[in-house]
Amino acid sequence: MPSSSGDSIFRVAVLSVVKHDYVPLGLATHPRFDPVVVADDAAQPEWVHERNQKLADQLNIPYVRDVEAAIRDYDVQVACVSPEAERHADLSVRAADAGLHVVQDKPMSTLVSECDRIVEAVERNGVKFLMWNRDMLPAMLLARRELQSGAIGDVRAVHVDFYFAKDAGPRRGEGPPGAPKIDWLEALKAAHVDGSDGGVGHAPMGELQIEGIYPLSHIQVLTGVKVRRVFARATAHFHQRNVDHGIDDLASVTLELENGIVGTLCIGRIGRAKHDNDGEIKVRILGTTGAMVINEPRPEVRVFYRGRTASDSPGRRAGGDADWLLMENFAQAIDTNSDTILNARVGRDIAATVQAAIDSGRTGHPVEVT
Amino acid sequence: MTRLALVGRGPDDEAYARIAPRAAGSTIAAVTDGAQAGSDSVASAPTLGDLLESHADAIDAVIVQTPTDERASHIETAATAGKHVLVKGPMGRSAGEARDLAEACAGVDVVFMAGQIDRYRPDVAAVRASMDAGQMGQPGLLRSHRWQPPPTGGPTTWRLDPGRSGGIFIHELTREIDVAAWLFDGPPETVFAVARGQDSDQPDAAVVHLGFPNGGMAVLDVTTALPRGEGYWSLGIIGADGAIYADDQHNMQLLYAGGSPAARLTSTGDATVLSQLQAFVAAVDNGADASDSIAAGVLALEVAEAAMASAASGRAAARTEDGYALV
Repeated sequence: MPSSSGDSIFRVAVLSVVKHDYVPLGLATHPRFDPVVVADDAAQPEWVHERNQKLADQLNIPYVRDVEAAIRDYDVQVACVSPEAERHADLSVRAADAGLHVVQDKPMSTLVSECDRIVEAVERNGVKFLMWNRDMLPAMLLARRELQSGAIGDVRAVHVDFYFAKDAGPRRGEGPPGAPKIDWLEALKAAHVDGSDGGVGHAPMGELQIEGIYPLSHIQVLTGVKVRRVFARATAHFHQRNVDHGIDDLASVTLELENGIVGTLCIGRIGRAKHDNDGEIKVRILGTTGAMVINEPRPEVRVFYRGRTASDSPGRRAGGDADWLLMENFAQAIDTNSDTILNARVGRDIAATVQAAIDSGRTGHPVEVT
Repeated sequence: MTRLALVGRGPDDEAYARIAPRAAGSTIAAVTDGAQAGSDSVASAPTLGDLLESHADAIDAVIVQTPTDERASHIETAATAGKHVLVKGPMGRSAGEARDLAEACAGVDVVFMAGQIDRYRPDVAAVRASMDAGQMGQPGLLRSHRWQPPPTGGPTTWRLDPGRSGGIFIHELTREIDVAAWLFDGPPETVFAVARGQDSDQPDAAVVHLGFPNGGMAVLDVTTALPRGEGYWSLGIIGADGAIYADDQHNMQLLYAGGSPAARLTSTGDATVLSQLQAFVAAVDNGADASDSIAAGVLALEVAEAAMASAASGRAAARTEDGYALV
């Protein structure tokens, strides 16, 4: 892939970083993106400030407890948004309204209506928006390259398995009878230590909401068309906190897309014991003249050693430039006024697909995606 | 010694001849329709009726692998003649036909096993053994794929005719449905399906999405549209306590001969057919009650019909006292 045409450096404000730091750190792998400030609203609780301060210290940049002041005072052109999911839309809209291009962590929002607000703000302000995604992983690049070469003809179906082999507190049914409902926010704050806090926030979210955008963006990027209708089953099969809050940790979705394409998705936070790696993640593509089976995390090396604990996955990513490629895609979109690989409108459509799947799982009926 | 007659031609003809002696010393004693298992020492006749008329005393059991639309009559003929029956594939083209058949054979003292060939795959058997050992806990999600080329012509041309084979839901997906119901230990409570055809109105790719009690679910994907060559198969199951991933991708060997390497699947040989035949012969030897097998065969057809109705209507189906109804 050629380098982006411009040589300008984009100064980046990291707007909250309460969960993963992989988005701002991934962004910083590209030399044209320079994080210069971390910022958040002063009214945020202290644990949020602590995490923001930690990243600021790590990057050796200031932490400002005033988002608008940071945008104004640090001459930034890009916002990197990674707060609790329910604050995603608020910060992204404020950044877009300030004329900043936006890179945002998943999920896009906990509400489709909030995604609509992001789409409106991004398009009204003429800025670029990139939802963080896994579509630049080497295996996915290979899949797209083979598709583009016509190796299997046109896509007829895409089937994605997306299992994360991570634990999430007490197992279902574990704990004393009559135990109080697990506090979602506190449980997810505690999960920060091993990076399994993608759903941190006040609003409990199931796996479809937290991680669904990754496999659904695979389907979107491979097919290039919208999902029209879904049928889903979803359950809290493993973790007591999901049972307590009536949200899924295991789900399956059948998708009917435009052009007669079919998709399926199996997704879950299945627990550490269920895989010797981070989880089984596969993409199976049926074409008009052939098919592909893609192991999404490859290439990897497998590392075993005396004293290795079950939580230390033997699989280590080997090679690939996924973060740099995402940011290169973002830079090119800015330079050439083109679309990013996962823009706001597509991100919104994926959020609507997730919501339709949740509704289908609750009703037992197929649901139109609107 | 169980003396077997092969009725109709199937892809495993030669395998049966090869492995029959390993299944408790059984043997292929007779064939119809020019099955490849035939040899000079094997009785042969054009039809099952002819075979039973001329060689009834030389046959203990019949393996029925005739076209789906002929199966019911062959099964009934064999069973009422007092021959044990192993039927390859679905018992008939509809659940109603299968129920009638089960009723007709109910009073006959023979072992009647309804195929369920995929249960005997060594990988599926390992899945079941692990579940039986309690390693998986309550099953949550089963996902399977079976991609293969279209049926070949010649004596198996009937497979290309949905009117005779029952089409992709009956002829193909009953296999996956049976495995799903077997691993979940009961019938699905909901059924949803989509199907697509590439070159005609007849679907050559279908997904069946099943819901089981206690939140269980299965996504079964089958296509008969791969280019000529080997197919692909995988099955994964996620349980409360464990998970199993069986996948042809894991079992590929690489061949380097210039350009991109080719993948070669490590074969399991005759293991599937042998295992099924051993189970059948053992049931014959023991006089086992195979009514569970018949019930499972009927259930697979009921679910396949519900899936067909779902794909045609775009609606889900739910289990009722009488089978399944669209909701």
